[in-house]
Amino acid sequence: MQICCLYMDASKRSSHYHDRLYQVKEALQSLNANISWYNAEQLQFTPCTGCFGCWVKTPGRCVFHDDLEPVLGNIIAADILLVVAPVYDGFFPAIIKKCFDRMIPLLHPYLEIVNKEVHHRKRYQHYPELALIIDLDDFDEEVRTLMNHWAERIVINMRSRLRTLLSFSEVLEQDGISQLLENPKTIQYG
Amino acid sequence: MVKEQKPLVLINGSPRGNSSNTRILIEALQKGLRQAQRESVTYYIQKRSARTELLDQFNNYDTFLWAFPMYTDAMPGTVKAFWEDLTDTYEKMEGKKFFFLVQMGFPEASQANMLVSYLKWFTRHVGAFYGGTIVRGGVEGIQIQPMWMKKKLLDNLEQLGYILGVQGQLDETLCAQIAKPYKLKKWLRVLLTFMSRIGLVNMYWNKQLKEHGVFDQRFSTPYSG
Repeated sequence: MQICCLYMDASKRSSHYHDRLYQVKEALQSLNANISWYNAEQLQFTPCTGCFGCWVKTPGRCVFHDDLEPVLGNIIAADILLVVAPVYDGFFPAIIKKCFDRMIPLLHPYLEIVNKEVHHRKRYQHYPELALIIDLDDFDEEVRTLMNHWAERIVINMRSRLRTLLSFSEVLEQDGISQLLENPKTIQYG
Repeated sequence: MVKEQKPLVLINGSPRGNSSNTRILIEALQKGLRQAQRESVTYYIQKRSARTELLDQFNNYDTFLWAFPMYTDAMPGTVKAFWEDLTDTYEKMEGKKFFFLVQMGFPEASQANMLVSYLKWFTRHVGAFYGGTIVRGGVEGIQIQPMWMKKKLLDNLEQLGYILGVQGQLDETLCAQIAKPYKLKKWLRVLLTFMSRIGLVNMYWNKQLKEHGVFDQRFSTPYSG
């Protein structure tokens, strides 16, 4: 099992986050998985400028050659793309969203109908499943629903699936980490 | 004494800035606002100087229209970064009114449903009043479209801007018009599938791939293996 983990080491809004992250990382390291760790805040990269160069100038590659390039390669090679992060104002911190914005080279510009909607074609045969572990505890169920909804949208682009969305508490106090390695269900995209 | 109305703030959150499709939509709204004699100011927040100025001037305004393209099913990370700066600086935003304009390349407005739900949540979270969201799909390519193709959209936006200027709210009927198609009807999905198979849907991209001399590399998978 290959996991590409994009994480944030600290939260500017929670002094407890760093310690709890350490415990979450320990739980992850106990899994029988090969994990590549990427601290999003240490990655030097240019946010997506919407130039679409990755689609029409250098197909499949961003025109910016920076720290995100090896991360994209690792994502494609992974079974799971895992994001471990705090929540700011009901969503992922901007730095995580900027990483997702830069993932569009992994898709193809061509369009097709998927689940009765227009989506981009896959560029790759295989994409990882998505898993989120978020420091949700200060927020309500509505935020969890929103983030779950967003993640379910993202996985359609990759014709993949959302494996799990866990709060830090579910990982640390309810042994939720085992859900990460549960056998994936197959999702059919029509 | 009549309270002086503060300018309505139009914020372009597109990373493309001046060359953005978002700008075209904002300018149509602004035309309507001018007809209603409603003063407005614009900030292009892809520029650091504009972000600094808006952050500094934020409390001098009370009505904001945040316009941006949908990136990976939500606001661009750069817009999220600015909102974090804003919520780090101003704890609560009572008395402020937020409108939003979300545009995207996908044709169906329903693709922005999650984002619209978040925008409502976010506005409530910061203590501001949610005035509504204008959603428009199929905007990629608008800059090369002939005027007849986009005239109805621009006219509707202009009218929406006028009503916003006069009444201080978004007209729901016009918003619904602008958002069409909300979902694609079955016959259109069948047609699009057929057009996609014969390559007609992809002409916009093929033209650019050929212009850059990379058409035969269009299916490259540089991260394989």
